[in-house]
Amino acid sequence: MTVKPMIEISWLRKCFGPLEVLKDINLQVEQGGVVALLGPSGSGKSTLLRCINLLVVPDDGSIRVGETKFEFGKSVQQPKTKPLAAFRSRTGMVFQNFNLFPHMTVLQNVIEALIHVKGMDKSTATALAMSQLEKSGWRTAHSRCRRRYPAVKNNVLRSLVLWRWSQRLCFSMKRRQRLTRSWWAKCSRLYRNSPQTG
Amino acid sequence: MYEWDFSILWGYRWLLLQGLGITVGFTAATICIGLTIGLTAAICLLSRLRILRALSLGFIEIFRCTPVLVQLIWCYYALPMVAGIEMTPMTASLLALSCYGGAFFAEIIRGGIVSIDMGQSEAASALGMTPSLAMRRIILPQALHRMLPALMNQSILMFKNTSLVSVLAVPDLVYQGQMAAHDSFRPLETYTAVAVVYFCHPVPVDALCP
Ligand SMILES: Nc1ncnc2c1ncn2[C@@H]1O[C@H](COP(=O)(O)OP(=O)(O)OP(=O)(O)O)[C@@H](O)[C@H]1O
Ligand SMILES: [Mg+2]
Repeated sequence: MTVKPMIEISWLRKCFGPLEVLKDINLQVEQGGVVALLGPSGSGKSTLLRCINLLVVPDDGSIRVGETKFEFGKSVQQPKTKPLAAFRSRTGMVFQNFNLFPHMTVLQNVIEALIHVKGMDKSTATALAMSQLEKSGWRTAHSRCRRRYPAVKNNVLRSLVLWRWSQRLCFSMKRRQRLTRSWWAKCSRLYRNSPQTG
Repeated sequence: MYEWDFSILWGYRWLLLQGLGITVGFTAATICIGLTIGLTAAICLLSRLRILRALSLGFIEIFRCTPVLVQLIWCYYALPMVAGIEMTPMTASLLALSCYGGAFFAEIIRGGIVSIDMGQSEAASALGMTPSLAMRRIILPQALHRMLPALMNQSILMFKNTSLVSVLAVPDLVYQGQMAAHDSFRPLETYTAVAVVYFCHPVPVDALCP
């Protein structure tokens, strides 16, 4: 008996004007599978990931993730906002340039979706986020970063997780934080963009 | 040589203070209503529905491109005829000034929203937020921070614009100043005092806002 793959992409196409970025992509990923997309810059790796998350609506083909299936094409209606949001809340994505929320602390970045999308209460979300931030080595990375960029030091006098200006975090810290934000939003699938991003 | 005598103003202190009260009240009310109108218009302007965009654009253009004095007079004299409703000078002024401010606020708010990096709303959607939740939690808080100086600017303009309501005999600071001037035959002192009061008003607010 064969197990149904977790992610199934068939005949996916996407054009940006005259530029055909994705041409008939077929891809299957088993549950628990780890897949690396390789290709030169501009070959469409990010575009494929964004298609799977429907941040970019493909021109043709179909995508199935778990039980949710989306068909694309001229004749097919575009998916509605609500089901789309529900679908995305079950997946995670690490963006190539992080896209952290600069008006929130590190902790707030992580618990934002847990509270406002998953409906978790604040103390549970905070406890979960703290334990995961700890696990991701955020604290170690943070102190290493402090040693390397002494200018940052003064801003960190207050508690570690209350640090507001997350856009000033150094690269490895951003990476960890973003990863934590998407991974531990309790999702079953995670798409990471670029190896150095996660 | 003119003999300045500011002491005559003391007799009119309650009158002027009353006027100042009306002016401050008007400022607060028109800014609050204007912000509400502006936010609504800005969100309509960014909507996907063409009809909302058109309506909002029409509203903004009408109120942005006509003089506020004309709007005031039109709202008081012509609008009751057109709509068949009675309006006190207060209501008419409040309506005109709020809409006028709202049109400018709308452009400021729209600019603030579109200045936020697309990646922010993408990150929000990727986390499963609906567009309205993303707007409230992610986009607006960041946009507000950027809009603050422009909003402040517009609010000062709205404060000064309230002086125009005196043409509809709303007893604001200018109107009461006129009364005092006519009564005392001392227009130079009265208007100087009125000008100083106007000047002193936004200065502390300005200093509070970096
Ligand atoms: N929104 C867009 N509009 C127009 N063209 C786009 C858009 N997004 C991507 N492209 C084009 O699609 C192509 C693929 O881009 P994509 O970002 O998917 O590449 P990539 O494989 O992720 O590259 P990198 O390794 O540099 O991240 C590029 O040529 C890019 O210019
Ligand atoms: Mg890429």
